Amino acid sequence: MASRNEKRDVADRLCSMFENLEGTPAEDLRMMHANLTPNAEAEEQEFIRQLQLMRCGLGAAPGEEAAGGRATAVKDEAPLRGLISEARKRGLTAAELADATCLSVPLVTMLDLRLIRYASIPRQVVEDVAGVIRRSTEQVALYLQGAPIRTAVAYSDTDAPAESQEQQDFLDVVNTDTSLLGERRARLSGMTS
Amino acid sequence: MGGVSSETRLILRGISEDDWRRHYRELAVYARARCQRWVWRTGGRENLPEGYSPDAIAREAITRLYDGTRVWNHDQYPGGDPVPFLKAVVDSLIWGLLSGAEHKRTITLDEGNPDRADDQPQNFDGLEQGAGLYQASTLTPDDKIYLEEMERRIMAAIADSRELVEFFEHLSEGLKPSEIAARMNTDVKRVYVLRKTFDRRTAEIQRELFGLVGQRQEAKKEGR
Repeated sequence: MASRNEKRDVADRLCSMFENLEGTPAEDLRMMHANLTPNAEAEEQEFIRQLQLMRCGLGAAPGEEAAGGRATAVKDEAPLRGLISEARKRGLTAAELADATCLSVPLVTMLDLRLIRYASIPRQVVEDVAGVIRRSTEQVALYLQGAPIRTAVAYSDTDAPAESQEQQDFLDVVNTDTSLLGERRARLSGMTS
Repeated sequence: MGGVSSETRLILRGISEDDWRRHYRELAVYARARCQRWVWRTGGRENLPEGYSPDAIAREAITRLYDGTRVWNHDQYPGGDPVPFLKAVVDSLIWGLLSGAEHKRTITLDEGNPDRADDQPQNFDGLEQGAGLYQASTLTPDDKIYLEEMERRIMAAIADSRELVEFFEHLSEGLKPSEIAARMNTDVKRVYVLRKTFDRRTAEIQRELFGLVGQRQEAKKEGR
């Protein structure tokens, strides 16, 4: 250890801030991660999505046999490529999907692009979308937990401000969506995630 | 899953999602520091290939544990905490990505690539954690001046608290929170509190140092 200390320069000292965090509480790590990584939450959600798939592949733990069937079903189901594209396969436009799920087109579009933080999406919304596009709730949930999908607008080289690719809170989107009918807004606002 | 031992499988099944969130955050932050270390050691010549990020590297390390590509040696890394082993995998992946760039070879994290990082020998026995990243190369004069200035800024941000200064000194030595607690003759919970205070006061400096891994050198060239 003494010889290693002799080799430590300013780069070593600074990097040590983040290389030895054993036992650090999860919330403290979350804040560190968020401070250093612009899309920390999205990155973590992507990890959780992958983890769920990996755990399915590892097999159910003892006591999880009841969920094993569902995990197998999710594993066997074709991955979801998009909510709107899946709706199209069922003969539905984005507007019709929005109507069937009591959402709005902008809201459906944001869900499709994964621009809404999954943790903030009410379970009922996930189930409603799954029901309309005739996919499992689990598969839709997995899809929604992915990283935001970048659109061509984000890379526009025009003078127009780039569309924000940051994920937003579901209720924030509901409250600012001017196209959302009052009754639907009230219903969604009353839901819990 | 052929490469996953029964002991590893048992441990992995026992790790909850919340536990994994915690492990992932620690690994992602660790990977960020390790990548930035490499950038500094190479004078900014080697950055992560486009499309890769410290978070992606952390995820890849965990994926390789689950799919058996990387075998957890439970003699060398005992216990139920996968993080020490995964840190070594992260180091290996970074080495593979960045040493590949240095040698003008294309290295990806994808399996099936004959030059993939997995071809690095999985012999961690006797290998000090991250030894490959403690290169003999010294910092460039510019980087040395810059980093020393950043370190001075950190000290200035905590100078009013002797406790924080002592904490940072121990942190800079590479000590774990429990070791810092022992050195400071205090409880490890106090160390976590100090850490939070330290992070709050130095958040902007931390972001400037580590927040743009792979892009930092561009900012420097533009005259920060």
